[in-house]
Amino acid sequence: MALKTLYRTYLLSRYFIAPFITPTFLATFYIATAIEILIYASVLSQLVKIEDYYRYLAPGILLILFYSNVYMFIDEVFFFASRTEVHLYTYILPLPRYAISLGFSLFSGLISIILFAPFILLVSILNSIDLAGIVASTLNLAMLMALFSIMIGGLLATVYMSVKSNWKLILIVLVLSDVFQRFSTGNYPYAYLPDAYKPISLLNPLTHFINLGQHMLNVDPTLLIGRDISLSIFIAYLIGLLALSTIFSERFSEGGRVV
Amino acid sequence: MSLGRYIYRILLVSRITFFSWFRVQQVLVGVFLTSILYIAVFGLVMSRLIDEKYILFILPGVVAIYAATLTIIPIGTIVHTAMGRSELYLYAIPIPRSGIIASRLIVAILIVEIASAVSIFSYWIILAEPNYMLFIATLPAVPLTVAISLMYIALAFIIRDPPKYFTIVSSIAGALIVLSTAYYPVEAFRHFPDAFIALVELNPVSVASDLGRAFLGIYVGDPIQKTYLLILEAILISALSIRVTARRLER
Repeated sequence: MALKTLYRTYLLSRYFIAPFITPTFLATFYIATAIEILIYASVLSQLVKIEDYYRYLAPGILLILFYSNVYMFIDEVFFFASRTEVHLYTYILPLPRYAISLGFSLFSGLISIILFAPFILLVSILNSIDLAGIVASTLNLAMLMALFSIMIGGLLATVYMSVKSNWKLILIVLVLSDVFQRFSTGNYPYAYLPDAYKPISLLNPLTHFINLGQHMLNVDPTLLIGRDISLSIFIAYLIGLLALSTIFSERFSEGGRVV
Repeated sequence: MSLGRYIYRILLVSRITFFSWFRVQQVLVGVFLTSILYIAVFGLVMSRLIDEKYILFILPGVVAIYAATLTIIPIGTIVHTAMGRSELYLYAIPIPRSGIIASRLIVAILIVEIASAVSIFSYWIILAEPNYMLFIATLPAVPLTVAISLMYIALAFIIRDPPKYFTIVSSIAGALIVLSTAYYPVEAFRHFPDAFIALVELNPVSVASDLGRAFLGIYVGDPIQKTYLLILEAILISALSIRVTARRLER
């Protein structure tokens, strides 16, 4: 039954995401990502006083771009599926609500991992010493990305199922995206943040995703937050947001939103 | 129609368009949040990593970035107007189509200048250092906004499918920003070929950023040369875009 549910959510997610993957999207996606990682990261690292900063910045930029892509996919999918009247039939399909949320998030993550595969491989090659290291860091990073997609999906599902007004909903989603990006440690190490910003950065799930990813890519640990702290917060967010989205999606199904 | 009445009607349409766009969440977040976070977080933290003057260095760059990014939504939707999908009321107002385009340009300039002012105020608050020259440094963004907006309008009439248009234009904006001196001085490109560096220097976003820095006294090059270059590029891009738009409008 679980497999059947998973297969059905896969079909549904594919139906919603497939129209985004056009040749124009693919061409602009690869050109824009390559420019960000190969030019922006390399030129900006020339200015920074820390030696070999590109090894820190390139994975940081890659993980921020991955986050933006997953966020965009999940945001579009949830918006169309949950708010556009044309797609309201989604809720009469023989699928539990939490499965829809989980399936959308996971599928958005998997599609993004496939899209980003060449760049994941590139930063793995850049930051690993031997072939075993490259394979290990690529696989670890892909697994982390899949888990992060589920986490962000849980967060967005919670927001979508809690906010009634479409206007406020779009505003909240945009504000969250901007705040997460700026207060993350993708561009700069945690130690260089002003003291006032450090608590916000520590509470930011994106910070821990990027930090764990950089640990997996053997970035200089003196520039990173401790692996155990990040892992604990990451797991707490993952379980917490999944639980919240499951509870909220059930409340939504009973006819009333939380707000 | 007399010139005075023509201008009055354009301003009227600009006011309607401005207030309708100033309720759009993407514009609000871009103007009031991203503009603060660029300076208060990115600029401040990078200045700790690079040099304490970096926050001042990035300000004119950020203004040029707004010209390339904040104009996408108000300008990009002109294709909907032209195809009659929405805002059809604009055709009921007795002004020529060029007037609708002119009103969008005014809105784009206003949005860019408001976002720039928000960034400047963030800088003043963070560094407790009011510097009125910063407002002068936003002036190069005006011709840049006009030229880039006209280019986006021309592209809107060429790429009539809105999702495709927004995908392509966002990527063009991203490339214009990254391959410019908005974030970094041209010397940081030293490991790239000379031809590539020349292209970076000719990028209108670079020219506007460097000219803004010249007003602040933090640019080592020749500001007169940059002024001529910006005017020349703005005229060239605008003329080419107007020519394309005029042809498409007739179809």
